[in-house]
Amino acid sequence: MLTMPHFNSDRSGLLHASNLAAIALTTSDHSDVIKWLLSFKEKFIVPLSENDLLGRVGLTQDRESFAKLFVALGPRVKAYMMKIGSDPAFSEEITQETFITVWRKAGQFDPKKASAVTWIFTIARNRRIDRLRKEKRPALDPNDPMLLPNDSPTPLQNMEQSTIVESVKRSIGDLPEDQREVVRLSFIEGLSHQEISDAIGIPLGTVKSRLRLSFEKLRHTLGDFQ
Amino acid sequence: MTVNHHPHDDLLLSYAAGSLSETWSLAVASHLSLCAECRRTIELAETIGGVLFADMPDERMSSDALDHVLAQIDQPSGEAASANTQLALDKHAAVSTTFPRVLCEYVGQDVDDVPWKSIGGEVYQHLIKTADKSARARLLRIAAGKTVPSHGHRGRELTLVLSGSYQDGLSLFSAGDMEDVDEALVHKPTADTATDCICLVITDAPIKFKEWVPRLLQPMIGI
Repeated sequence: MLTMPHFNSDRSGLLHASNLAAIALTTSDHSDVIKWLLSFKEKFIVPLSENDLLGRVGLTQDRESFAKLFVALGPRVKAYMMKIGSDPAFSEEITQETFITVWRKAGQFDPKKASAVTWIFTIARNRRIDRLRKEKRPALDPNDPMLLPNDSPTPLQNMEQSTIVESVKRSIGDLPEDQREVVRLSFIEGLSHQEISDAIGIPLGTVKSRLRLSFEKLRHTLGDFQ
Repeated sequence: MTVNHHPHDDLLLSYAAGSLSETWSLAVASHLSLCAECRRTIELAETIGGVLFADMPDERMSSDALDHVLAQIDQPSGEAASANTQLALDKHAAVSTTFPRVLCEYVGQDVDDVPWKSIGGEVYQHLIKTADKSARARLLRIAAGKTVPSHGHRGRELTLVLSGSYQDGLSLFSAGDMEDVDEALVHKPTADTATDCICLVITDAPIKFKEWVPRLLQPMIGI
């Protein structure tokens, strides 16, 4: 069933559909309507967001949207690869591979579970592990029949991704510098607990407690106390 | 399945960051296969990654990068072919009733095919080979009603229950539960009387494990 998008009035007084890509993916039966809505939004209202672009790539294999996404986020992915790849040429090669995976997997993007930027981050992360790390990194197999469906929805599941992203931004911004630093070393530099401990000269236990504290604050910000 | 015990957030955060080493990743990924709540936590932690990633300064791409990528997406997809192979594999994969798939790659599918070694007192173990030197992984099989002799920890110890259950003081750990303990705790897990308890156990560096073995053996050899 097609649920109508939630229309907001922005500061300029124009209407825009806030989550077209989300609707697009939940209502594949109505792809013509979706395509029309997206083109309407692009032509008359606002430039497409990364979420809309990725939604389009997934829905209609739209090369133009894909190219825009590459121009917008390719340089970011390259910067991320260079954090542990060092060689610009090789980093660029892995960046290109990342986007080929983005193209091929775009149909799996679910805007209710992640923003486009977060989703592309996870693709880049996996590619960086595969190409730049020597040892294996066992990962959850999403097709494992053992996986049980999420039976009890949490408040978080009903929150808009954009709201979650805003809360996460605020929460990271509010962290004390020492906590933000270990989180950054973990995500961006890809350092293990031990490597962080060696890199900044703090005990292993302190690395763990700073990571835990930072996440606790985020849960608190989101009001998710489970 | 209700999962009541979870790994601490630092492990989930590092797993989402892609910075957790092989052995610890094996434990977290196995737990995630059994725990929907932690799968949601990972999605949240990945959002942190997305936000930090979005905040990075760009690195300029070469001028022909886009053309290269566009040319490559027109190629017949090697990955699509391998996705088909994966589907075929999925179809024919013998389903393990005990081990999550990520763990099957290391220990096989059948509990009875695991080359168990007795460590006394009807407790059996199987050491899992990983390239990661920061930790040691093993499967532990505690016969129904038996006890792993009291031991302390010099480092961190993760215990993921795969089948059966065990009591540890006041807490009960059942399939899917992960006990995540740091240095301080001394405990004495006892398997539930109905069935054998099978666990995946991760401990810090092997050197610490060497001290754990004698502790296990002490009560049995009477010293």
